[in-house]
Amino acid sequence: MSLTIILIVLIAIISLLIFGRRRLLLTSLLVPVCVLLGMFTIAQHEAIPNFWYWLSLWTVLGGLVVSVTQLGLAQPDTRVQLFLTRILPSATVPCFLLLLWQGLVIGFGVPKGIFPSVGDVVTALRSSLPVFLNDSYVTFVQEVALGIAIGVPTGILSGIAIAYSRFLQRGFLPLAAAFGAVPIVGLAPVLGRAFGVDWQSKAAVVVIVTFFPVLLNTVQGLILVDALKLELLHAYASSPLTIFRKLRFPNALPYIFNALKIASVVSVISVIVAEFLIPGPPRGLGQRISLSARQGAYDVVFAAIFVSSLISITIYGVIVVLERTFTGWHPSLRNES
Amino acid sequence: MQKVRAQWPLLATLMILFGLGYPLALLFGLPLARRDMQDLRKWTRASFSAASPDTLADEPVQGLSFGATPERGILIFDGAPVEVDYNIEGNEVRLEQPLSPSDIARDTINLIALGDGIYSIPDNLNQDISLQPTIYIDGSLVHPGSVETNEVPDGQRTTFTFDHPDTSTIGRLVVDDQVVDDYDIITVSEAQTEVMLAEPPAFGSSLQAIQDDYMWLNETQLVFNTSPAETASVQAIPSVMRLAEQLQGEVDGSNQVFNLARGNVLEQASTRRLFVGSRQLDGDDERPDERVDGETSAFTFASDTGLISLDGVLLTALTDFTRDGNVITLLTTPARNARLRQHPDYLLTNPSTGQITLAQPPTEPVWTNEYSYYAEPSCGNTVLTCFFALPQHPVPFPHWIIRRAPGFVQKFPVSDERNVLRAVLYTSTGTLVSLALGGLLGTLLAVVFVLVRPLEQAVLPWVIASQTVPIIALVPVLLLVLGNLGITIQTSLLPTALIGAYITFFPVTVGTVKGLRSVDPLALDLMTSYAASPVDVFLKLRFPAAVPFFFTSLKLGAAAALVGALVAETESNNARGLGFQILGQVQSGNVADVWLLLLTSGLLGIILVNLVGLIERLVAPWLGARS
Repeated sequence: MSLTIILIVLIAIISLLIFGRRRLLLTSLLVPVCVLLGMFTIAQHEAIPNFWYWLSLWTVLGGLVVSVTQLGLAQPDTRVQLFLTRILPSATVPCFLLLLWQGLVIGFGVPKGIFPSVGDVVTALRSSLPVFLNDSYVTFVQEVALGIAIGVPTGILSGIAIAYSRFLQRGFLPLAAAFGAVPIVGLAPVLGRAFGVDWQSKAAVVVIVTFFPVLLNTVQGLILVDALKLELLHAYASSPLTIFRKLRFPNALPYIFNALKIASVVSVISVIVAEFLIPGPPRGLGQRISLSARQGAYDVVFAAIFVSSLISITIYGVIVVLERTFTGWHPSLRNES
Repeated sequence: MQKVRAQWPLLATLMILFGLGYPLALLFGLPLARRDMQDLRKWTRASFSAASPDTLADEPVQGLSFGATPERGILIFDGAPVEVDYNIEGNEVRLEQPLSPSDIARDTINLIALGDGIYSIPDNLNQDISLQPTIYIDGSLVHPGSVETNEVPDGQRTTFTFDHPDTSTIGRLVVDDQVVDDYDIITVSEAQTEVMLAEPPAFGSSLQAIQDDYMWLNETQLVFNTSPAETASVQAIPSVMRLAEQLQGEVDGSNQVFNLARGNVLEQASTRRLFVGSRQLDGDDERPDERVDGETSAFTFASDTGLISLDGVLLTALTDFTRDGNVITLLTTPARNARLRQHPDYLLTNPSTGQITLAQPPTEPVWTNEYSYYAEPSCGNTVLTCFFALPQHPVPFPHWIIRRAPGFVQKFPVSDERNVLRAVLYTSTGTLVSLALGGLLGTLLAVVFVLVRPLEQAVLPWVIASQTVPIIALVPVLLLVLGNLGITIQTSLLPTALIGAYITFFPVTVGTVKGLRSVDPLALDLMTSYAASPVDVFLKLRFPAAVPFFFTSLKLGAAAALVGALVAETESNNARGLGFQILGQVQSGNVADVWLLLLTSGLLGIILVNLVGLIERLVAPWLGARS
């Protein structure tokens, strides 16, 4: 059985190395074939995996690596080929990692209580999906969304105030920059005392964590305007409001979106740490992770991490799309094809 | 001078932030203080009990005086209101006709002096003295009272403190049922006295101090604070006339609702004794024979009269239920596990106003000789006093934090691992190791990406995505895996370093890739025309171009790595770092210490970022002009 798999993959790899560059579709086909064969190898394993198990696993993984490099070197001609060369390599990486993870865990017979296999995580995800949905609602809607909804506007408004006041620029800006280095999560327990141990205190953590990057970036964007453009507007005798609307604010938008990207990532991490540090009612992904880790239910831990990563990547993606819509004129985005 | 002037906005802002701490402290503290004030469990308890006459006379009297009088007094003798007419003026009761001594006190017992202020009830007495009787010395009332020590005797401790009202002090000490006279009073403050005993009380014994005139040692013996004169007659009187409290409410044969003089009455029935005429009311309730399972609506009780309550709310007959003997049929089925009770005599319908509903309309006065109530918030009567009495302020007043600073630094000697400076050193070591690791990994990855473009296309999106993974969530798993690999996570720097490296490598990779690519194309062309090897291109062109990008990213990573280190420390129970200290102080409630630790770690973050800047200037001095 294993021998057949090894042979198939080896033949495919060799034919790839010979014809690969010209036969892009053939290369692309090897990726799903390798993935399927890898899954088959792992599924067919015996109680004590033998030499053939390891050999076929490594062959399959090697096949994936070869096909990805071949794809990267290929010269796409048609739109379909272009699409394949852009999507397939990045899609292969998680398949490769998951196969490796599952193959190693199964191969070494690691018990579920020490390190779960991919299968365990998927089972946990499917069996307690309602729980995860409920946790995600608490973590992302009640805590992250509310915190961002408060933190970002206040950050932008304070940024505008600071940009227009020399006193605040000199006095507050160095402090705000220093705050960037303060581990704000340390504030979590204090906020827990102030706002109670339920979701409110975690939303407060998000507010603080998003406030400072947004503020700093807004100030930078408002200040660092092209002096020539500013002079032009002055020459037209524009009112400060017009200067703000037509020059300063559009100039600050890319900075604000950059801050939003940072804030979206940092707020998810901070909220999970805050849930670690403020044990409250057992709701929310962070609490789920820390409670399950304490009970040794690592499959649930990984499933919760997966869910939170998925949602946080989605948020990041939404911000990127918004950025493209609102600041599509910016050079950094124009250059990308 | 010029320098100082340039800094003044910063100083002014610092002062403003310092000042802002005060309203913030109030903003967060006052709601907690208010909650404390409204929480009845945090109120001091007091109890009303019927008073005995201050003095007993040998001949018939027309006036009796009592130490304290209730708002609506009623004279009680032998468990029933007296049949004589009287009026109450202040603490004095004027009787319309004189009463003989036997109408005021009955069954007098003469106590036997055992010496040293200890008196005993005679052994041969065949009276029920289970209710501790009132004590008179030469016909004057004396009051019992004792206070337990605040500490637990452990067989070694010899110094103990006692709380008492600031108007009095403590009297003699009693260990279990033995009087102890061999002690020194060390300090006496307003409401506390500290004493040192010659012999430590045994483990588990009870140490009390007499606070009033006397206390009972056991069921038959009592000890006086100051021994009465040898000639004095010390009498115990089980049955004496008392001034009890009459409940407010019309006794007209139809009214069932009565009110105690005090509100916020304790709900437990055992803390009060109510009477109608000479009959004591039963405060206990009956449970139904059937389970309240959410389906049954007919319930059987032991007796066939009484009030019915559901979850403490009184139900009215006919509109809520119908009665057939001892079977009650509720018109709406009660929810599963609802508390359905029958109260044969009465129900405390409103504890906060002291309202009581009787099962039968009384025809005789309703009175009580004992009940407990919540007197006042133990933190004080205003929100502000409660605010200052808060055990943990969420945001302390800024000057409290400053005042705490010297004690905070000196709390542990430098030789102790828990010393703050050592914790700072430990955490910064962990952060620096993780920075080095992350910087190295990030640079390596960047070089690979620049060399092998296909790999970058495949992997870079996932490197970006990996940053949205809350890696800190993996700390518990990582610790377990490391523990299984035989690394003692309590002392190892490894968890901190790994987490920090994971957090640092991303900005370094992205920044360095950008830097390695930021080479001037002309310079690259020149190198190509000189047929320079790829190694030379890297060494002479790409690396120098990437240095500023690398350090900017490393600065970003430094702050993030510190957060990672702190969290890793809290999770790994690593008793050496700042993170563990923060968690420990939070758990023990030293909020000022938590703020100091936060300030310390903030300062550490700034220092680490500046340290990276310093290294940058050392490594790449040609960039000095840039900043």
